[in-house]
Amino acid sequence: MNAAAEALRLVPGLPLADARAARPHLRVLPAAPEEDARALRALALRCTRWSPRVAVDGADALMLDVRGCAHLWGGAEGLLASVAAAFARLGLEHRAALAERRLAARLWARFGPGGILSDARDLDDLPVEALELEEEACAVLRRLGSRRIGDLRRLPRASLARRFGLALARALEILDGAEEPPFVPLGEPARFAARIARPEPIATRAGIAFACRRLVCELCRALESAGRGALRLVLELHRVDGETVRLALGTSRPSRDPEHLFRLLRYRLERLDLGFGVECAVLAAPKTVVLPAEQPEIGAPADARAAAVLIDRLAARLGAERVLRPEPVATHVPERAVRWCPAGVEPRPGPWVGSLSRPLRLFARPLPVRALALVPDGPPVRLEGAIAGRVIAASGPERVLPEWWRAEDASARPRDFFRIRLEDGRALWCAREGLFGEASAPAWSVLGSFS
Amino acid sequence: MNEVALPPDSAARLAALRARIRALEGRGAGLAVPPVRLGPALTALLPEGGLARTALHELAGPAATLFAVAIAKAALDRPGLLVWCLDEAGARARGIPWPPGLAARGIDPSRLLLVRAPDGAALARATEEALASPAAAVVVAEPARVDLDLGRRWQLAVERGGGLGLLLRAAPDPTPSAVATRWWIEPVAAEKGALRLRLVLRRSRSGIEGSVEVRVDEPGLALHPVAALADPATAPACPASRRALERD
Repeated sequence: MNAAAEALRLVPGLPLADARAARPHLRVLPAAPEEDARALRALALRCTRWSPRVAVDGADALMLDVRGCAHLWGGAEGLLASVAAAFARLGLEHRAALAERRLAARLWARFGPGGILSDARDLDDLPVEALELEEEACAVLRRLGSRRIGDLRRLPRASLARRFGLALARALEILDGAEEPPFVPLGEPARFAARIARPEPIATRAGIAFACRRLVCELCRALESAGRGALRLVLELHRVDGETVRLALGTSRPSRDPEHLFRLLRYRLERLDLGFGVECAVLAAPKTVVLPAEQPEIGAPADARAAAVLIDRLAARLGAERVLRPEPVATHVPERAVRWCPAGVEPRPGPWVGSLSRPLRLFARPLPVRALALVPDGPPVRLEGAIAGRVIAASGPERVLPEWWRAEDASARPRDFFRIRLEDGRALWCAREGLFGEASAPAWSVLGSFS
Repeated sequence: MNEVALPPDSAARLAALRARIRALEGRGAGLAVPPVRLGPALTALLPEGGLARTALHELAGPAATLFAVAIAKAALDRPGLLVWCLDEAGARARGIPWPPGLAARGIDPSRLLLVRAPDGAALARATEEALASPAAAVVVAEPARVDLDLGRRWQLAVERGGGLGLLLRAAPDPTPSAVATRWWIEPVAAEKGALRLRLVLRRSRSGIEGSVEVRVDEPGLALHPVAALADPATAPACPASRRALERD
């Protein structure tokens, strides 16, 4: 229930019909838990401005590990004030609590007044429901006269565990100072990261580009002093409207060249939606490898470096799946002899089994044609259909059996490949699937071209 | 222009004059780069001994791919990638280069980089990027349309990169463009022996036009002369050629 709902005197559990009768202008939307979860995750990313370690806690809370961060905001009060101001600007009602232990902070935020929990004994005044027990257990506890957490402490721990489950005993132990389960943040903070935060949002593309150039330079300096190169960059732009735009890109070779990395980023920035402006930009290199210092003038790998730069630029413009290098595949089926891999991955130099009976160009899909042949198994003497003409020379056949162990080849028939020349001089690669005399007639198709 | 004493030997004289013309055209950098040698079959059409590197050449016609691959093979004598750029429409209509076929003809497929742009605009940008890169020894692009602006941009890019640009076209393009040479390549029917091509040089910066028929020795992709057809255009006095010269 937020303040607006409370002002209308709506209460949880109120039937929708009653609420509508009392407040006819009420707008009703179906619950969308997935959308909520997505929004909460986006909000969590945004909270990385206070601490790099943020986790989503349940369906409606965020947990920040602010150890070692609070002094940056002028102590715990300053941190909470900053959080309150930021959430108020986003128009989100919230309650923030800060405590030594996570469970305590959670209880203090959900059931207490929020703020800084200075004394853990204050939690004793919270109702037993705060421990998130089953409803039945709560009812029993209330009947026994244990309304507050402090009352539970007076009961023998062993019988509590036997009666109400280990979860309750465990929670009490944690409140007493036992070890908490490990904290799992959304993403471990990258070792190499740079950030720029501005009180005034940056709303122009040129401004963002300028900020990114500074981030890249800062990151590259850090990488250089550590002797490492980035394989992946992630840029997060926290927009004023609460959205976080995330942009990830990879490089084909480790790099810490600011010019190169900035150029890759700039291609992607051109298409970003900046909304009403960006108040904070974070650039991180989550994946780095050792990259020894090198002098660009000396040594042969200049070619390899230039190739990597070209591949990265093309991949940044078009997407890695559109910049491809071939890799040989050991198969007898000619069309499957090549696997196209994103060029960033070093291709296996593997042995290429070339043959002059393979075309220079492979069509996107085989063109079905009709063909006349003098003998049933022989080469065609005339093609008709999409490609037509008299065949003046042919070589073949090369019989290729389907790979019966593949599901898609289960009903495939053997094929005979021919290399043919038409009367207009074109050299083509065609195949006949199936044999004469079978139940279904053989099918001819043209698969590629030699010119 | 001040007269510079020309060497007495006619070949050296010719070379000196060509160098001066190149300097006037602002292609001084191209001078240091040896041309792509395509064998004796084409010497009549290419007086400089081959196709100029750091330049764009347009190849059209039903057998343009074979000629492009032959040129690429010759130009890959220096280190660098063979970057082949096409868009989805082109890939659907004409297919993609096939590494096993290239490997059989002596082009190492591990040097091939295939760029499949989603549309013509992306293809234009990707081609410019590839041409401007020193990593690309040869860039083959299959654009649907090249206007004067784009051609000029690509020309500037190829001068920065220092590679060779080949534009494969499905149909001849009547519009003017910035390419150094324009070819029409069609297959010639031959029942036996090697594939034969008729190479028609429709336009070149040197003003020479003409055609030649070649035999393609497939494993090596070498071009051998068959019979030089009557080509009056090799005589620079031909009015058509002169017009071509003035157009440049």
